[in-house]
Amino acid sequence: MKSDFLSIAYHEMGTKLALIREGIAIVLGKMAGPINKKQQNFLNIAERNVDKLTKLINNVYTFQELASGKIKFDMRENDISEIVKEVQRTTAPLAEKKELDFVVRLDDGLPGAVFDSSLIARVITNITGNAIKFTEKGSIEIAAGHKNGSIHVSIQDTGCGVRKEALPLLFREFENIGKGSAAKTSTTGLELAISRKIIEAHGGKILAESEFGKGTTIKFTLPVEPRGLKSAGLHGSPVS
Amino acid sequence: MKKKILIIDDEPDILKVMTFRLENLGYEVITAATGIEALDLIQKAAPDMIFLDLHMTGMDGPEIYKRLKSNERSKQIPLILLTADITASNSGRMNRLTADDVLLKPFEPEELLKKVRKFL
Repeated sequence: MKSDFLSIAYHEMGTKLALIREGIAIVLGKMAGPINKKQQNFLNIAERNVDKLTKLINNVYTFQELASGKIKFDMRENDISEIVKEVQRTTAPLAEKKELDFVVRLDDGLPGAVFDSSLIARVITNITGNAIKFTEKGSIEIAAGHKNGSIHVSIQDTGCGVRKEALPLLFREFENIGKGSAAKTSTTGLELAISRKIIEAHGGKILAESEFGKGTTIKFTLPVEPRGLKSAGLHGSPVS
Repeated sequence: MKKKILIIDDEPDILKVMTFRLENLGYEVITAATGIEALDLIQKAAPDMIFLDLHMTGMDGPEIYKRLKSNERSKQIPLILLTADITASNSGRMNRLTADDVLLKPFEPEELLKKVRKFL
């Protein structure tokens, strides 16, 4: 019942937010007449925050759906190399903008593994996006290898790092982590919590290592043949 | 002559922004907030394309759909279903309706344009 309520509330909020966004976009796009610079600046604030709110509501919904085992995973044999390369293609422009080196290291002979490719792509995209966001100079490296029946993926940055005492909080929902005074934003929101749920539902583990001021590495494992999956309904049904 | 698009939705704000967008693209737009109004408009105004919201109060989307498709005059008109329900397309509810296409709410203006261009 709770989830039905959430689902209805989510769709209702989504429709309303889309209308707010449309109203702003029509005025900002000068389709309803000319606007001055000042008006434009304030509408930009409104637009930016409607987008943030939309993203937040999407994430709350996804998190809740994952937590209650409602999301059906599309479990198939996939090649992690392909996923990593795809994430590199989509996130490289962000790294280029900040003049960061982007390195991908893939071990030879990586076996195929059974996982939901779009969800794992989302995890790697989120972690990589975060890494780019918190790195002002240096590099981002995504590496994938294979050990003891599991795929090992790591995303390393040379960013501002996370204080040791804050590391365990990184994957909790809505934890506010002081990422250092240089950090432009200090909230990780829900993305890492969602990533943790996705990896754990696949029977894998996710952890973070960091040296404050020097950088962060986030590592996760994925069993090649997952067993004992943590959420319900994981067997080959299409993602809805 | 301008192509005419009918939008059927009981949410007046949606009608307003969709009308604005489509008129801006050079289409003529007529709107209906209820099924009865829609069926009446189709007889009078002969639209070239229809957007129909699946979830309406009163005569619901599927009911309106059935009437549109059983009517000689309206059954040839391309019909796009509007829905916020991402699972409806999988659940078979929409398959049973065999609409010409589906537009998921909320949608970007480009997606709306794409659907229109596909049929007009």
